[in-house]
Formats: sequence, C-alpha cells, structure tokens
Amino acid sequence: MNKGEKGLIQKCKNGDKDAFRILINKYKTDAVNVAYQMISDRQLAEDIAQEAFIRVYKNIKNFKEDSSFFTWLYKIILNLCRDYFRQQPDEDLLSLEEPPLRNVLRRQVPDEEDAPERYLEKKELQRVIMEGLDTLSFKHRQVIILRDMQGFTYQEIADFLEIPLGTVKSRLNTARSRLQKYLTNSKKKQIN
Amino acid sequence: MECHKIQRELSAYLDQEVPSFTKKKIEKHLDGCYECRLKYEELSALVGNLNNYQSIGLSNDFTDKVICKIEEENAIYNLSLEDWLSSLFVNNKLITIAMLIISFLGAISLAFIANELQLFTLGTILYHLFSSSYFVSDKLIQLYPELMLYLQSALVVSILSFIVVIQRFKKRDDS
Repeated sequence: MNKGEKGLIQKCKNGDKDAFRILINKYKTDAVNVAYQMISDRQLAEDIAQEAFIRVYKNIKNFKEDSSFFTWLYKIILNLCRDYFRQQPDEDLLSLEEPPLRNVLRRQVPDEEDAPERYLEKKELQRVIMEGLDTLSFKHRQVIILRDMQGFTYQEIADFLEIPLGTVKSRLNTARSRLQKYLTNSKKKQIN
Repeated sequence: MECHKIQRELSAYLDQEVPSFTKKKIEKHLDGCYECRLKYEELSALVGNLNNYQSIGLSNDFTDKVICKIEEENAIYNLSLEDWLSSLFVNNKLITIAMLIISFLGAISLAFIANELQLFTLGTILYHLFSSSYFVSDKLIQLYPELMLYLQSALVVSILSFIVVIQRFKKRDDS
C-alpha cells in the first residue's frame, strides 16, 4: 500500500467523505468488474460493489492495514457474491447448468481485414465464456476470476482464500478444464 | 509420466507454477505427445481469452450513489441504545463519570430514605449494601446530619441527568 493511499485511509477513518470519494473512484471499475465476473449481472454487480464500499466505509476504523486496501475490498465483494449465491433457490442453480444460447451469432468465414466482424467474434466469445463461467461452481469460478481475470499469483490466491497452495493448483486445473469443455461443446453446437 | 498425470499439471505449468524438475518432464512429454500438446494449446488459448477479457463500464453516478447511501444511513443513524451510550461515554467522558458518581450517591440517599421509612426489607438490604457497611455509617449521619442533605441533592441531580439523557436519546431518534 502506498503512502498516498495510507493517507486517504487515515482521512476516511476520521470521517472525511472526500477522501473516501477518491478511494471509490480509484477502485470502482475493478470492484464492479470482479462482481460482474462472479454473478454475470451488470446491475446486480453494481449493487454489490456499492454495498461493499458502504461496508468498507462503516468498518474502515477497524481496518488494520496489514493487507492492502484492495484485498480487503475484494474479500468483502467475494463474500457478498457468495451470500448472493447462497440465497438463490435451487431451480436457478439447475437452470445455470444449461444456460440458453441466446442470440447466437453464427461464426462466419474469418476475415482478418474485417474489423467489425472480428469485434463481433470477440464479443461472442466473451459472451460464451461468461456463460461457461456461469456453469462453474462458485469456488471454481472464484479461482478462475482471481487468477486469469484479476492476475493474482497462486500464493496470493492461497492466502486470500485461506486454502493450501496445492488446492489452488488442483482447483484451477479442474475449473479451467470444465470451462474448456463447455467452450468446446458450445462451439460444436454452433457448427451443427 | 502418463497423459492424465501430465494433463493434471498443465494448468500450473502454463502459469509457471511447477518445480523445474516437473517442468522438464512435462516439456519432454509434450514434445512426443500430440494429444497433450493439443490440450495445452487449447488451455493456453482459453487463458489468453480470459486474460483479455474486456472490463465492463459502469454508471457515471456510481460514486455519488455510494456517498448518498452512506449519508442516508448516517441520517437514519442506525445505532442501538448501547452503541449510542458507548459513543456518549467516549465523547463526554468527564460528564458521564460525574453523572455516574452523582447517580451512585443518589442511590445511597435512596437507600437511606428507604431505611428511615422502615417500610421495605429491600430498603434495609440496599442500605446495608450501599451505605452502612462500606461507605457511610449511621454514626457519620448522626455526626453530620447535613450529609443527608448532600445525598438527597445528589439524588435530585441524578434524576435530572437521567431525564436529560432520555431526552437526548429521543432527539437522536427524531432526527
């Protein structure tokens, strides 16, 4: 944690809302994105990120500063997402097993020069990846997001989730294989 | 190593999170095994796509919304009585301690009065508990009758301060 951030946190502890505003502006995009990656719902992701920031503000006096501010925020967001998953009725979880392939854009002959086409392809791939992530369990999705989307190291993930390093390795391997399987199946479906 | 063992390690290998010994073994195996190499390439493409995942934008008034919600919650001042009392104590240590001492003296005078009336056993118990045995003996009152007056005024002050505390708490609820 750098000095500027420490100063900001100190100001927040004294109830300075402008300092907190700076902290929100700094981390809001990452906060919303990690929530979105976890739950694939834009509005809900914003709500969760907002709630996380409110919790941070309420508890900032108890923040020990032995971890980075962002790690702390991250933990709060992940806990909120986990609570959200727990609240979901079982039927919803079942329906996630086979997410409907909405608005499937059929893959055209690739054309390197065609920028809009490439853009659509990329968008489509992202959509399928998001669907694939939806089919994973919470703990598998969590490791993929932390490692591949947020760029944490294995050790950081182990510390963060308080699980052994070996578990991070095997969990990530399983999560990636399942996601890969989903993508392959979904490609097959599109071709047929 | 067999293929399934290799495939179990591919993910960590891709992230360079395997010991160099295992790394060499995997590399050797990949050189000779088409299936595992294909798996590795697929995995590597997947991770590449995940790494390049485009972040979503968020509403412009995100920060304002958060600050607004915090202010709303502060306005509701969702504190319990205990929280409020503890914050009162922290902010006005001297006054609260003075009030507690006065209330204690008030309680002693109540005990005295109850004892003098000779009405309740409770009065006698309180009297012995608070006064005669520890703090103020009968003889002391007999020697200095004005002490009773001080104790009674402490009782009045403690009742008044109690009323003030209740009123402040009501005011907090109203705001």
